[in-house]
Amino acid sequence: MDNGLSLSVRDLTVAGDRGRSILSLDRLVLEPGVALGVQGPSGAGKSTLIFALAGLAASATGSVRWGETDLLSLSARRTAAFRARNIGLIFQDFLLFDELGAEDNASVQSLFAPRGRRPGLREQAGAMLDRLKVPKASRTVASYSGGERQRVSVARALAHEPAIVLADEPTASLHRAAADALTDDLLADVRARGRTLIVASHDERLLSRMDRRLHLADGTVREAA
Amino acid sequence: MRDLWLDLSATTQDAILLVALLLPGAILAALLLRGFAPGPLVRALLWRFRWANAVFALLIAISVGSGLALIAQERGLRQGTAQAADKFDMVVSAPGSELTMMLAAVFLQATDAPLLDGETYQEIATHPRVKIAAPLAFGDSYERAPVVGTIADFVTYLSDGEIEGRMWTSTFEAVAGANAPAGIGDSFVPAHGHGDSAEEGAHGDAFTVVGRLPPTGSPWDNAILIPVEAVWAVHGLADGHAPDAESRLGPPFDARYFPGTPAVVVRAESLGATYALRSEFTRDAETMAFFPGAVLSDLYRIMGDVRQAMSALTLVTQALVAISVLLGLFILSRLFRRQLALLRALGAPPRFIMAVIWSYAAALLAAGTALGIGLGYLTAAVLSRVVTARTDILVQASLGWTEMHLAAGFLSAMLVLSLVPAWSVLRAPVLSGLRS
Repeated sequence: MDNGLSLSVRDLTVAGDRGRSILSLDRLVLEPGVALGVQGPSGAGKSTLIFALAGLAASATGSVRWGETDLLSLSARRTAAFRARNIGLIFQDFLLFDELGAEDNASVQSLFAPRGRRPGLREQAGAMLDRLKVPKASRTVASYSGGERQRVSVARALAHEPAIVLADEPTASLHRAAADALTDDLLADVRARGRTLIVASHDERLLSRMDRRLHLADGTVREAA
Repeated sequence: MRDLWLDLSATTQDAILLVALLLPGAILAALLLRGFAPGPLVRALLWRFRWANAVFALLIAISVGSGLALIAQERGLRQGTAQAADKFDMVVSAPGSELTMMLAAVFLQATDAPLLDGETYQEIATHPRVKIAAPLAFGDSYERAPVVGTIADFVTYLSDGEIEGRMWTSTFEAVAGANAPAGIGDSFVPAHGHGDSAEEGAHGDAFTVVGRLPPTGSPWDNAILIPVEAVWAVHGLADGHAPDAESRLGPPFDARYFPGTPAVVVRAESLGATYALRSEFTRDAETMAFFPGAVLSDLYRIMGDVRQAMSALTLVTQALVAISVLLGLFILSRLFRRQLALLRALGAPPRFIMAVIWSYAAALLAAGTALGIGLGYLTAAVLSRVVTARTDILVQASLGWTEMHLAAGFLSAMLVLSLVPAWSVLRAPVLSGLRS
């Protein structure tokens, strides 16, 4: 099964608040369905790269081509539509709506999806929570453990069956056992469905299971061993 | 089109205007929310910042409520004063200030007025087009309630013939107003004068209350009415009748023994007759005839300017509140900046983000306005009671179409203006929102 999208990045630069370049990437090519780990010291631009690949860095220039679509040449509306359809995002601190339950959080995209897709999205979100062994209790996610909350966040990222999964430090807020379990489940899903996965992380156990690794430091990028 | 509009009933016109005022908000809601279901997120945001939201809605409610209550109260006061003067078709007095004499005769405000003599009264009372000519005699009080001397016909007219108990049949019997401090069977001795300067015990004669008037919604509800002859008698004056008719109560009076009256309340046989009588008894240096309703009307005209000023002040207040609400919405939207950035990162279209912010603002505004209407209703009711208690004029201020239109206009304008903070959220970079 090969549902992922290929990635081709050319001359990508992202400027900071005062115009200072905070990320520069001349070239990166990724085959569909590949899992890429991005490592490097804090402040090296790992998260910035993840957000730029999602079309979220307003100051990004160059080319970020997913399949046939150059994300940086699209309007904000079309970029948003591309993300909604093709990208699943996972954040270090989960970013959940604490007042909602697990199922509502996992299916949050159904709130702005076309009416016809809403029941399907909710169903998929429920199935994803089951697969990730998250209790679908009626209580809100505020009472969930860190591991459970990150699983809800992963379920949200995967519920709409994206071709690409971009994760920013997905295990950083979890203890070791929870981090390993989450890594297992995330990779199992990504590999089973052939999604393209890019993970920015300090977690060596997670990075060691990636197909490729990229090292970011001092504005330079090199392929890690 | 204009004719069609004018053909509609007032209620239909008001209802259409209300819908028209709410329409911009409804159209906005339809345009923004079409195809989206932001409900769960809006509920989540409302709950997350529930205390801030509650305070915000309460501030809106207080502002809306006070504006509505003020306008309703002004209208209620006008209606109350007009109703209080309803039974007083025309008043004849010595020349002077119509306003002062109206306040004295209709609203029982103490005043020193020159008296009309017996011949003048006789001329009014015996005029063929006059049905009732009631002399009034003021000056005494009982427990701060005015004691007013008049004739039985006027009391019967004032009460529409529905006196509880009976009308007086002797000089020292009285009929009490609905709220007067003496009930049927009570005896009282009037004090000379009013208020703090009233002289208790100046008159030795005790009166017995034999009847009670139904409520009239006027200061007469607080008054105690006695035969005019009794007022004259306790002041050591002739009682209006010749010595051989001393036991008589009420008209006809004998002009030679008539001590004088500051005002005569006249009821004519018809409306046309009232105008003719006013013309006839408006005489330089002799008598002044006026319609209390017309004097009130002049007063309302003057008050109309005040009302416009009040309306302008209300609008200015609402505008200030609108600015505060907008600033509040800017601040509140910054509180959930991160959640909104998340939605944008997940691919939510800009219209959905606007729909979430706008729905959140709309919920607060609608709740605040609805609460404000309730608060306005309560405030108007409380103020009415206070004004009624202090003036004895029955003020029944309640919220009507005018207030509903004001509230709907405010809500609609604010719903439109709420697009500004919603739009400003879209201008903020997603990344800084996610990292905030």
